[in-house]
Amino acid sequence: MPREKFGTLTEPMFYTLLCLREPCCGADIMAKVRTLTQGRVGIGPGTLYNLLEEFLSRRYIRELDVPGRRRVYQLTAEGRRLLDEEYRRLCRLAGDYRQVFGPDAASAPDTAKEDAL
Amino acid sequence: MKYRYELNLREPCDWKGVENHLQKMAAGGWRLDRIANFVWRYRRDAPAQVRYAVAYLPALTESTPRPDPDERALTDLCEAAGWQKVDDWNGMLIYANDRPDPQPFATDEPLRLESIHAAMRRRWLRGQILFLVLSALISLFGWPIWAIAAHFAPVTTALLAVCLFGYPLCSIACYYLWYAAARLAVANGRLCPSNSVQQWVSASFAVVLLATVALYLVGSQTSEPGLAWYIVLHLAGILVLNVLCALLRRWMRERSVSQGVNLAVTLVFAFVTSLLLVLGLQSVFLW
Repeated sequence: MPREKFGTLTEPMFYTLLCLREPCCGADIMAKVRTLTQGRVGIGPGTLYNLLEEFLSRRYIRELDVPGRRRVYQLTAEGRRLLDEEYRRLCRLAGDYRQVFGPDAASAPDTAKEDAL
Repeated sequence: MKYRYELNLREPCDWKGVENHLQKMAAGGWRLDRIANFVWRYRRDAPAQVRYAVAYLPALTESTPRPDPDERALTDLCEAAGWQKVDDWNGMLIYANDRPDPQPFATDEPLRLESIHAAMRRRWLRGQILFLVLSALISLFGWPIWAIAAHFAPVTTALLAVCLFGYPLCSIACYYLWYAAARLAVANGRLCPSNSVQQWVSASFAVVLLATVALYLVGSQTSEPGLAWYIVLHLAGILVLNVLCALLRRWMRERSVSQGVNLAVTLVFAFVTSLLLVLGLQSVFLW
């Protein structure tokens, strides 16, 4: 079933909003996400442009009045609320995981995990 | 500079088809250079492995003045990732990347589908509906094409009906079938499929149109030989007019003429030249 838009954030959505805690242009966001996730998550320019437009239209981010050609964006209070909600959701998931497999399960080696299963 | 021209029947929803085709052309030493309506121009270059990607800006029309701020913002982002803009067409922007291992262009399939659908709805779908409305008006208000078609052969009438109503209805149905399948695919985490069927619908339409014209010509050749030339010159005139309108629109948009002025000038130009074409042909053939 298709998810309700922004009901849960995809990784590119989550990291884009996270990077916009400080004012950034699109190119900075792409570089920051790569650095923050050590290359695990990459956001393509085509996707990022659409995301920024969507976030702007829903007022999760705002465009700053900065001279020059590049557009600079920043997270709004509404965007921060969305990010916080997602963080709590992820924490609940992690909590449920720990409840089932024990607090040290995630850091245990793979062979131990197979034994536990 | 050596150029090669190609008639493009692909629609913007065939994103993968466009990318693959351009990659194949670049590997064969032909790089996309410029797009004017259905005609794509390639320039000769050394064969290379070039990656192409398409993006969509539904609000970007053929008459939007350039540079457009949204198009500039998207292109700046793409350039930062190594993607250079080649050209745009019908709200679809084409980017190329020469790097051996380029950064992926689009990384979110639901967003890709949304932007394709927005572009198709704004431009293509409106065009198909307008075509249907015009076809209905032509049929309702007694334009002579049905009578002429019936005069030659029943098959000509059937082909004409396919051209005027079958093509737009079939295109719209095919598009929505693809859209439903694409929504299901991306909702299940799969890649957004490309719609390559649409180009075959357009190609079939072109064949049917040519067959209809050929039947008209053969029919008129036997009964009224002058009519055949009248039809041929009329169709050639429409084709030339179409190309001239596209060039005029492009010329104005590159000079940052506002969208309203661009549209108004193009409409006036199209109306006046159509009138001249019809009157000119009538004066030659009727008197």
